[in-house]
Amino acid sequence: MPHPLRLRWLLAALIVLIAATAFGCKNKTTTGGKTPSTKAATSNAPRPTVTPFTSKIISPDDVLHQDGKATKQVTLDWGAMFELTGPPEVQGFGNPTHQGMKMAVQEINDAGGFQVGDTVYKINIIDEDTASLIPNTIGVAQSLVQDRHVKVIFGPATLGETEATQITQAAHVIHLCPCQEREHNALDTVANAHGKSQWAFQTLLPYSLLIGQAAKTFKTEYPTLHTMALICQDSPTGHDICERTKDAYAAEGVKIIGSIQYFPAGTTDYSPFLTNLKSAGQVDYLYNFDDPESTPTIVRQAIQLGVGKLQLVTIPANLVSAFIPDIPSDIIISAGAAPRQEVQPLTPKAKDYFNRLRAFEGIAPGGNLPPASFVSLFTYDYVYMVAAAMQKAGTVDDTTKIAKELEIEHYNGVGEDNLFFNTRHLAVHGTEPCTVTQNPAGGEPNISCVHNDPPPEAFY
Amino acid sequence: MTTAIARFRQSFPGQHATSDVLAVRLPILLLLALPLLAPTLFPTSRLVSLAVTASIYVIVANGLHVVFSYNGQLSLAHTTLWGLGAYSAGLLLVHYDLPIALLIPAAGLTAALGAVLIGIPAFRTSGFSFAIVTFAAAEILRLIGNDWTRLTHGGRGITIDLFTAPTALGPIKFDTFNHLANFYYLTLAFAYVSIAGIWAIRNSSLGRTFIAIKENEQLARSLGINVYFHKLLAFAVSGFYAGVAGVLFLYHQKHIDPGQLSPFNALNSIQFLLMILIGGRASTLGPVIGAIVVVFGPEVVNSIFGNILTPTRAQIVFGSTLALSVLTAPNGIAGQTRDGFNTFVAVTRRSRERGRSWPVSMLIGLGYSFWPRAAQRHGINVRPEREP
Amino acid sequence: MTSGLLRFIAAPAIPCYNLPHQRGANHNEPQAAAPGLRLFEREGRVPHDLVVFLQQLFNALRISGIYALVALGITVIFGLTGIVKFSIGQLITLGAFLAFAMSDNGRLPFLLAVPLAALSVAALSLLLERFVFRATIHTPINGFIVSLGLILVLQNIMVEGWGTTAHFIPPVLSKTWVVGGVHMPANDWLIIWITAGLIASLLLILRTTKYGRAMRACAEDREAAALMGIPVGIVIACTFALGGGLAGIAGGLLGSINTINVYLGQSYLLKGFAVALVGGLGNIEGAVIAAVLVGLTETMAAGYLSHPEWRDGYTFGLMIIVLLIRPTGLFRAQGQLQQTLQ
Repeated sequence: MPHPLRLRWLLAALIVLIAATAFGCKNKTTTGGKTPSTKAATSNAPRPTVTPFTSKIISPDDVLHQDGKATKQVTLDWGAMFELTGPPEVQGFGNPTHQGMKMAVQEINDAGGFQVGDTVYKINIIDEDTASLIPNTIGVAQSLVQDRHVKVIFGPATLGETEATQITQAAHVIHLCPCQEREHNALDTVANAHGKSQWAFQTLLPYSLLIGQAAKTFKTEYPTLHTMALICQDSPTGHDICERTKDAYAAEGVKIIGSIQYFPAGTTDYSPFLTNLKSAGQVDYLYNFDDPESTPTIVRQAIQLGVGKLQLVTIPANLVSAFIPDIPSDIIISAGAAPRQEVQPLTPKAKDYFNRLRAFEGIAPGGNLPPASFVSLFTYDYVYMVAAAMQKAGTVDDTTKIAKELEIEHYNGVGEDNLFFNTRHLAVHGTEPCTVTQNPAGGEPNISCVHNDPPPEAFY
Repeated sequence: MTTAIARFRQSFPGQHATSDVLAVRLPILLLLALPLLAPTLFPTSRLVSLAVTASIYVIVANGLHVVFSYNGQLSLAHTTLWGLGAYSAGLLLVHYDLPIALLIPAAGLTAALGAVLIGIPAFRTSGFSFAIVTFAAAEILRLIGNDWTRLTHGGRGITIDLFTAPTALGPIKFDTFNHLANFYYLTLAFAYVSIAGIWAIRNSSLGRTFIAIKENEQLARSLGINVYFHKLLAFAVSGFYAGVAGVLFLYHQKHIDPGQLSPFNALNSIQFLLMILIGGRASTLGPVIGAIVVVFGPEVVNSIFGNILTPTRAQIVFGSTLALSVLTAPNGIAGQTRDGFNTFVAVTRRSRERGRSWPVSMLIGLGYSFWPRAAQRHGINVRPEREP
Repeated sequence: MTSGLLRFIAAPAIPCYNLPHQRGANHNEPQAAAPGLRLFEREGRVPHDLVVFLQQLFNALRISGIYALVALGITVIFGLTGIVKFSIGQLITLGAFLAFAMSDNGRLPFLLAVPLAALSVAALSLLLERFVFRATIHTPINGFIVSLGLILVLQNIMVEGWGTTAHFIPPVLSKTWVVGGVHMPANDWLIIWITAGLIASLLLILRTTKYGRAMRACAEDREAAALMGIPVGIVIACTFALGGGLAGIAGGLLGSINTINVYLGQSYLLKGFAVALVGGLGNIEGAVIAAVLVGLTETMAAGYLSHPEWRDGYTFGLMIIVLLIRPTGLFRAQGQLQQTLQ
């Protein structure tokens, strides 16, 4: 039987509820809608003079050294929140960063732990999967801080870093991640880094410092290349990275051809977009950005369509040379810069590191690591650094003391022989880009890699 | 004419064959009151946070219940309507700093309007085509969210301040960082209202009209029911539900971006449909059960097998559980429970009639209740009334 | 919020290699060494806009062929059973992975590996029909949900097996033909011809053979067909195998023009559905024509309309318009379609 009265009563109840809520919420204040912070890291705060190479550089053996006088054994909980599942362009970076942290922790635990005072600490990682969603990242950060009471958190790799940082810094938790966005928010100024976000550290050199330097070098190395076109994924990351690259190259006097071509995520056929660029004019540099697995397809289609002489790609060189075995003689491919790369490791330490990483991931010696494996270096060394800071500070709980030690620590790591945080809490390390070209003698393409020291601006 | 319509409507009787009995309703009401204890029972803020999520999902799933289970239209746009609510609230919050009490009706109405705008073309088609058209419309909305940067802040989405929003209702604070329990009760109140709302719709002549359209559109039309209008109405109502849930979602998650409303993520667009099917299409409480299972299920699996299951393997387990549960319990948990209960009653009764003692009869009944189909084979009518 | 790491590795190389333009001088190579064979090098005589248009037309042709294969698989299964088999995207990916596994390190020639991969996928599809989808034949909505569960299972099994790393199948033909300024990779032509041949023979089979007639009869009215002595169960099983096989071939062919990763098939799934709907669900010829239409819309929208990033929006907009004008698709839908979702 119909009961129209019931419906009316319920509607009335709903209206009353809404009215009651309205009555009570007058004094609310909300801020919101962060506008994209594309402004460069220009801090007007006075630059303190630093002397980076004076203090003692700590080695991994120093961290693992025990004097035999320890009387207690305790297991510490450290939080890890990474993008373990989700879209490829996100989890492709979340998983390797997570692996780097896990490998360092396993090494420390296998060595018996690290000693602080009279106690030997082993580390237990509390793993949280952010599922590549910002709300989830907020949720797991809150859970790690409030429920698990961890003092150290690593991650996330790419998504939700700003939001997570707000939570961790409110709780004074040591928080390390390769969070690029953080440079423009929490760590914008020196005062910020030493004030309200003094427990947050960025383990990755800011892109803004790298890209300008690279553009300058290209201009001198290849004086015949004048124009650039860009093709990027239609995602926040894609927009951000493409616009920054465009600005950096335009500032060096490179002419930008056509508009940036944004293609939808999940695109497999890039040829219509590349044809657009081709019809707009002669393209010298072609910059592309997609998830690491799809990038070689763009390069192959660009070469087939005759777009671009110097292909700027964001993936390791071995992937490019595997997918594009027949590189035309007039094409140069410049493949992603990493703190250390695995194709032709330039230091014995790096060679050893990537071999250990293969073993850790269960990959046969010499086998292919996942495309972005080098990002594991954005957590691996820093696990040791936090342990060393705890040793210096003589505490595993007083995060303010530990942060102070991290600020002045110098560490002999895999990523760089002298790894440290600058005054804005940004890690200072070099890069190793590779160039792939046709082998004139036939056969496998030539790959050559170099190590670049960090630009001088990075030290502040 | 009106009597013909009334008779036609009455030919679809209520679905609660046994639940009319107070003995069945009372425990259900008690169970419904259980969530009130969640903040005291749950030891961690993570679990309370999940309970908030579940309450929000209940609201959206209830809305979809009206469209899908009552009116028989499969909408794949609900995640996006939900996001539309969150987006409109976020923009109003950012630009005009409105209080939540105004945001909730505003976002609800925006989403309802969005539903009508999608529905006007989409209801020209039906069945699977309707599903794909709603899907496409949702994708176009996502593109607007992603690329109309001046209006929507682009792919970065909107983040509201983590610590100041929402503030207080009189002396009670709703900050989700320090006063999560209060916020939980707010969402729970809306969830209860939404359950009561669809229950009222179900038992009104409007609900019967919806079901009549689902059962036989031609016949309904021939009886003078304005099919197109009623379909749009059901869609708008469910859009309102989704919009209201969107505001709560925004306040809880503090963030909304186009990726979250992307229908391209297959699981994203059908998560609410999944809740209804897991819970049971034929029951008012189906979406509630489904939402609880979908939200807490992975957590339970993780806490039991977390050490041996990598995320990848957990997804394999989740996927096969999903497939298996649909194959073994096609009527959802609510349907299966009801079938089981009916079987128990019927088998026990027959067993008593055949002269067995009470305990033995009930034991036999209990045994059969796990396998209603077996009882059916023995000629026991498990479902006395037709499935809607 | 946005990716720090991505931006980091995007920092381009600082090259240290013996530069090609210098090397060209040393080795007396022609400066404009062509990436392949140029047939008619007379770009000046063809108007620039026409070259661009022809290039886009060629781009559309390749993608249309793949869409047609996927949509055919979807449309035959849906036309017959009403099951919305979302897991077909994962079958495409599986086809690509199997083709890769079989042809890797020169184990088998690519042109042999693709049919074998397709056969394996067809066999899997057959198994799924027998043990999973047959139980849901009367409630297609449950079949839909089961297929969603299968997405997760298949996708993550592939992650376990092959990882998330990209894999490659080297192209069979590596030359690029340049005709009047239009660049046409020989490998793409190979794929276009294979696709066209497959579609033509499929149409022929479904039109002329006993199986084809039985399938269309079952799609028309399953019960009547059963009464006429058609083994409906076997026809449905064969159709699932056919749909799986087509997805497998599409995947194998995609493998030679794309990098292969676990997400490869996903984006083709929804386009496949759009194509099947525009063509009229269950209508085989309609699916082929609609595939060309959708491929053209997509490519030309990306090429000529402002906001190329809205490409998918334009495609779906076209679909909505078509469905508004003709709710059953451009060509008559066939089979037990509209009310089957409940």
